[in-house]
Amino acid sequence: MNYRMKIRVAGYLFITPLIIGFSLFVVLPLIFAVGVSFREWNGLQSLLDTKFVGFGNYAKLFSDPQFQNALLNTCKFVMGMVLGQSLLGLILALALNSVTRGLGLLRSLFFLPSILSVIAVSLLWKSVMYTPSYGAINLILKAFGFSSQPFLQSMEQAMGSIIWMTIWEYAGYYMILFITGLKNIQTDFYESARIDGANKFQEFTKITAPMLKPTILLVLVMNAIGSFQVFGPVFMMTMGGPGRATESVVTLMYNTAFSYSKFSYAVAMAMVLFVIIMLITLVQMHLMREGGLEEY
Amino acid sequence: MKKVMCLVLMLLLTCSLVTAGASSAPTELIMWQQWSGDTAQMFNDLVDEYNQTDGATAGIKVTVQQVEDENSEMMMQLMAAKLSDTMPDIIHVAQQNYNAMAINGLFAEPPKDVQDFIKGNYFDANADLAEYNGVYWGYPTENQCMALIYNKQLFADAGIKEPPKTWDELRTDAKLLTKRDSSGELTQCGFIFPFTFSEAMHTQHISMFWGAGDELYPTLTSTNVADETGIKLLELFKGMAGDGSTNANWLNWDDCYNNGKGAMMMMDPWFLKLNIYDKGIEGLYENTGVAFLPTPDGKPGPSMARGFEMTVSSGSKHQDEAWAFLKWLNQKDDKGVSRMQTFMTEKIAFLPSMKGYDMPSLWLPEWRDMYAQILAIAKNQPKLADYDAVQNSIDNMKDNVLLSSADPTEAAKASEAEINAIFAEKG
Repeated sequence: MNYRMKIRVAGYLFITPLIIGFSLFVVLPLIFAVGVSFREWNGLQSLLDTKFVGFGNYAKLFSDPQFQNALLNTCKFVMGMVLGQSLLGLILALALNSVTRGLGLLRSLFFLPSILSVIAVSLLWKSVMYTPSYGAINLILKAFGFSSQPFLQSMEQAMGSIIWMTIWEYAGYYMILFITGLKNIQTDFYESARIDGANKFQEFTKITAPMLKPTILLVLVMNAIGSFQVFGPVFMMTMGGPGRATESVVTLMYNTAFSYSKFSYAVAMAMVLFVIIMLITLVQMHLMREGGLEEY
Repeated sequence: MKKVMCLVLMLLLTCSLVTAGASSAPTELIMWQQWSGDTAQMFNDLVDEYNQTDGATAGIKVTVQQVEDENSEMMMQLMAAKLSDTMPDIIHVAQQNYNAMAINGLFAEPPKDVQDFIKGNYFDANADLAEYNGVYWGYPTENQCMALIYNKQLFADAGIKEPPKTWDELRTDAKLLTKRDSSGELTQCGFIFPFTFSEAMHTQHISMFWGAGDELYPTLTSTNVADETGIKLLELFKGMAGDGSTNANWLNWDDCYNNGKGAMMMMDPWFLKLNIYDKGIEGLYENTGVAFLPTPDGKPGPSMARGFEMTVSSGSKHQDEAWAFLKWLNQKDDKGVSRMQTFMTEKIAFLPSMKGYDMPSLWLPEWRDMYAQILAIAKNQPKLADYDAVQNSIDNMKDNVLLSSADPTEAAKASEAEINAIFAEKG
């Protein structure tokens, strides 16, 4: 075996454990799930005793008003969470980038909510912040002469309330990613731009934003993938209510599988969600593929 | 040779010690039940009594684990446990999921003497709810029957002498009982809806249909949710919400009544001790009244009876021991006392499910009289195969009507289509 072959074999040996793990815990379950989605399984009987329905579950999905509602709600969650978390993360990063004193403390404070348990944060916001009449936010509103708001009890406000809570929780996490991206931009570019008479806005649009494109892509992709799978805050705060106003695809999947014993139908929903997330990720990566230092 | 003999003797001694240890260890039984806090502690004390007495004699030790029963959590946990072969030995489950659980083979078939005891000793309604396919699957542990619970003091302050008997009176009284502050903010609502508590929303709907002489589910595979009664009921509720006399878009139900911010609600009797007595403001318990649910014509109408069952799971590897414990707990001892019924009525003040048991002594005498009348005409919870999915549809319909501008007729028809699809799928 020559040297090159040895290097190649060594490389494959190093990644073998990962491939085995990936196959066992991702690929095989995925194949199993696809198989389950073509049957009618209630989660308790043997799969061999279940009826094969082909694409029947998928056909039912596209005419199911509850699934359509859940998908629409999920899209609204994604729009709100991706825009809100990314934008606020970027604003915080830009603001902290020009801070010299207390930077470490401020970064930690903004980052802290993202390491808290989503269950604890959801319950905190539900019980303390959003309670109608005597929740913290309503007390502040009343102090300023505004009327108290129902928040999670209202079909109109429940989704926005959850989105705002997730923005509070995760903006700090994306702020850290943006700070890392900003630190990689050489200061020479800004100096040259100032010499040429560029103002702050021009510096941002002509230097910062283009150079930050890879980071923005990373943030948008991560955020979108996570937001499409929103479950914890919805489950803890509203259980998809009131009136299914906050029911997401994953919440519906959970109830379909475990409350209504329709595992195959729930798996079909998961497959559809998987395809949607994959397509959107591919589109994002295609649109954002240019940019960064090499392009600049 | 001597060394070999010593080694053999030591091995024999070790084996006999291990065997002796193994055979003297009690049979461990795991029980899942849904109580928490003080209620769970009191129940654990009862189980400990068994472990120290009859359990110790029989070599059985029962350990209780809490599993939430809201939102089908218990059903979900049982399914996961069945798939992973880690089912508990004994389960305490709500009757609304009983059918689905029995159909899916989650229960062990009780011995004949247990089934005979259930048939002969519990109220017919409770025993009937424990039956599926000719088998009586578990011991009914309690009775829940919805009534109108109201704050007598708030009624007196509003000049209302009696609780509402008709649907029109319900709406009028709710308006009179509503108060706002100078800025127009609600400070007291006339009627409390149990938003987020879908079981109560559904029970309320079924019971009010009966009160109107109609059936929400005329058969186990059809619904009248969008018939004339259904539309009138939704219009009543929407009217009340439109009057601003409910807790729609305001406080949740369990914050509302307990804090004296709501005048009346339709709720089960467990609410009297576990919420009002344990968590309510001072004087609320004594000032609470109980009445029949209002009906269109004012005559008392039936409300829905249901409860919980205790049984052995099909995955239990110690079914005989589990039934032995359940017999000790539920069946009458030589003094004619059922420990479970005594616990339910005296410790947590629930309605009994067994014949010959008095109402809770903690209850006000007027409540005992009223519940005796309510129980006399109560009807059983419908044994729908997909109870949770149907319940979710009704709850969603009511949320849409009460919390948004949804038209009652359209909302009812949407729910009807959804429920019919659920029934069609189940066949």
